[in-house]
Amino acid sequence: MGLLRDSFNIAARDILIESRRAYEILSIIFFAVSTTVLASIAWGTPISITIQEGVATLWIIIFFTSILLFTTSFAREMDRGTIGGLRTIPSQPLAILFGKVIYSVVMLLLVIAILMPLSIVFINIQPTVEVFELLLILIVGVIDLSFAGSFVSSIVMYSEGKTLLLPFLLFPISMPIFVPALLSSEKVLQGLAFSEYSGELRLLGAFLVLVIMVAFFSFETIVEE
Amino acid sequence: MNRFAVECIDITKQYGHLYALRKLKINIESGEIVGVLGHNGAGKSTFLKIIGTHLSPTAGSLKIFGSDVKKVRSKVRRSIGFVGHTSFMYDELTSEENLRFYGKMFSIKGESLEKKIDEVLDQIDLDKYRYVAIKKLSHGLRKRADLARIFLHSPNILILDEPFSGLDQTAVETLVNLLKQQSGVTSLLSSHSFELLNGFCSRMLTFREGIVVNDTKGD
Repeated sequence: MGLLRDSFNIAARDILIESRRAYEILSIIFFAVSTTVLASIAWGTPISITIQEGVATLWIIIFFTSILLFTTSFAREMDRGTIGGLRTIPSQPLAILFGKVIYSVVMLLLVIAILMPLSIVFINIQPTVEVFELLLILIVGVIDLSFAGSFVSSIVMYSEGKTLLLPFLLFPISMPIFVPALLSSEKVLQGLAFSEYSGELRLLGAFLVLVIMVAFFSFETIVEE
Repeated sequence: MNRFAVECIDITKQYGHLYALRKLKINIESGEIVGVLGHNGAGKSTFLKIIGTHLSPTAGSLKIFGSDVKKVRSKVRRSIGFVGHTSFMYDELTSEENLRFYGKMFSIKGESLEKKIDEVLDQIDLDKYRYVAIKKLSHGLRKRADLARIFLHSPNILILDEPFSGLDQTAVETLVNLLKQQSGVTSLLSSHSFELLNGFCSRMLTFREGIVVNDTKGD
């Protein structure tokens, strides 16, 4: 309980800070919106965009948006010295990581909430009866991505070139998230049954467990230097 | 209660080939007020950071009230208040919001947290700036806000690295009085100035090249 409570406290503080730096989240939203519109123009008329093209565009936007989020996640704590404050609190070190994950999930879901209606209009993503299934995949994918991204962000925070290193490391690490997320999103939009994409969901779940296990054994060393 | 608040057993801290601390053996009794002196790079800050559990030693072990820090780091942190060179306060938040966050992390809740925030802001004379974002405060006021943070959870050990730097004379006096009022609390303060510490420290440690070259106890 203590771990969860501390994680939510850290996430709530990050969200409060973000609300005072509204220009940062607005720039992320602007990036997501403009990329959706540009992709729509590039693909031709929205109606001609296939499910594969639409879903690929959606996940590419989510990936790049997440990079903007993760580059500041731990880096800002490190650059400002406030990571020191987190080292003085009597919480389990994992609470810091989980706090950052919760914050990233909230921010990415906010971006998705704005992206979804735009995706219907601009990139021809038409979830009719499958809207909850698509949301489930998006949420699981975002949770996976937030764990992987926040963990990578903590690893690179000591590096001088952290803003360059993060996308370099995150790209290969997030492949086990994007491939099943993309495939399952396509299958959902094609109207296939749950059994057809449950394998991809299991892969997402397995990857999540793997990242949590790695973080469990290594995060204390990372954050305590 | 353990006789020693802090026990350093052969503590070494190494950065590559550079030794910041070399096989340090120091015991600090409960309630002692210890001044830590030394030139730049002598090892004062590293010593305080290790005691503050802010940094791990390369070798050796540290006990706080008899508990091995390696084994019970979280528990030990409840009894420590640490102020370093850089502020641990979040720029976008006000002093009050920062204190509320840190208070919650030390499991202080609800009404008692609000009372404690009022109390420490009043003690450190920061009450009128409680709703001002940290980034809008002067260096001295930021330092005071950081000091307020450590009094929040009533720690048994106070570790203050260069606490007087950037403070005006009134703020220095306020802090010195506040430290004197903390009866039974073990305090460690570093400074370049012997005169500043000599007035109220019961023991002085002088560091040079990672070792203690002088350990003087007052009467």
